[in-house]
Amino acid sequence: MNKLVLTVDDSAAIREMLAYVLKSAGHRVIEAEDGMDGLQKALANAFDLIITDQSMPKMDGITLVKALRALPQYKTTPILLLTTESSDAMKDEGRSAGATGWLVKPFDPTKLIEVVQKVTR
Amino acid sequence: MRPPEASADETATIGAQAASRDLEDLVGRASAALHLQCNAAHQELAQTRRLLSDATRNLLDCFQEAHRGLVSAGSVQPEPVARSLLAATQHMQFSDLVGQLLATTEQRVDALTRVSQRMQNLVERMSALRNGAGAPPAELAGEQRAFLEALAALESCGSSRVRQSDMKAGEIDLF
Repeated sequence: MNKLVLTVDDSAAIREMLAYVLKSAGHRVIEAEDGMDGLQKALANAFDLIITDQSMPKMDGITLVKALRALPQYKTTPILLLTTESSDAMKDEGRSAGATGWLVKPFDPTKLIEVVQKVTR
Repeated sequence: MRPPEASADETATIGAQAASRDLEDLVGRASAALHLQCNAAHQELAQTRRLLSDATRNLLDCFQEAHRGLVSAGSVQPEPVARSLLAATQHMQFSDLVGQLLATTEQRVDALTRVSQRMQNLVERMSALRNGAGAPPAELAGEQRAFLEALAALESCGSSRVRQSDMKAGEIDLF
């Protein structure tokens, strides 16, 4: 419990809802507006979990996953891609980039809390 | 004295030219109407986006206010209220999904607007050329190229739609 989570999404609604759900489960949350912002915040903090959108300006989610996996401190950190895209091809791309899982928007808060517990154990 | 009658070939040529002019006018009219409607659709989409954005911001503020109110009221949140607030977090995500659909639609409308504009330009140039007041052939070829490029961009819009075919909303797949 009480993990430090980075949420990356260009939508304020998604960021606020993620923060609400994660905080209600006892986690601490830092928000980023796009992949570039997320990468900078990841370098400045030691996150236990990263949840990122795929389609974003400046840097997309899969590029962010690749950039994070190239950093020694984020080699094994769980990274979840949260996206409206659910095609197998796109999912395979996420898997190859090093993502831990794929979540389809709109996320179910109960399932999200369960999966966060599972991947941060 | 009666004027000499036109031969069958000449009659056919005159007929074909008239038909070509009619078709040109029709295409010109259609592209102008299309362009007008595309511009109107673009403005309506922008207005929809603003309305969605304002409504979302207000809803999020109300949601946070309700949460703060419950927290400051002390004690533990009543179970049904806490459950409702948690369930609302899923419904509140609609604005992101609608926003993405609007963005895709805006891209399509913009591509359609460019095609209609190029089509209008092309018809005007062809019409001017036929009337002997046309631009040099190189300019007409340039206009044709620009039209084909705009058309190709419109055709490529087909593959950029938001897809949710393989998984359902809310589903989670751990690798």
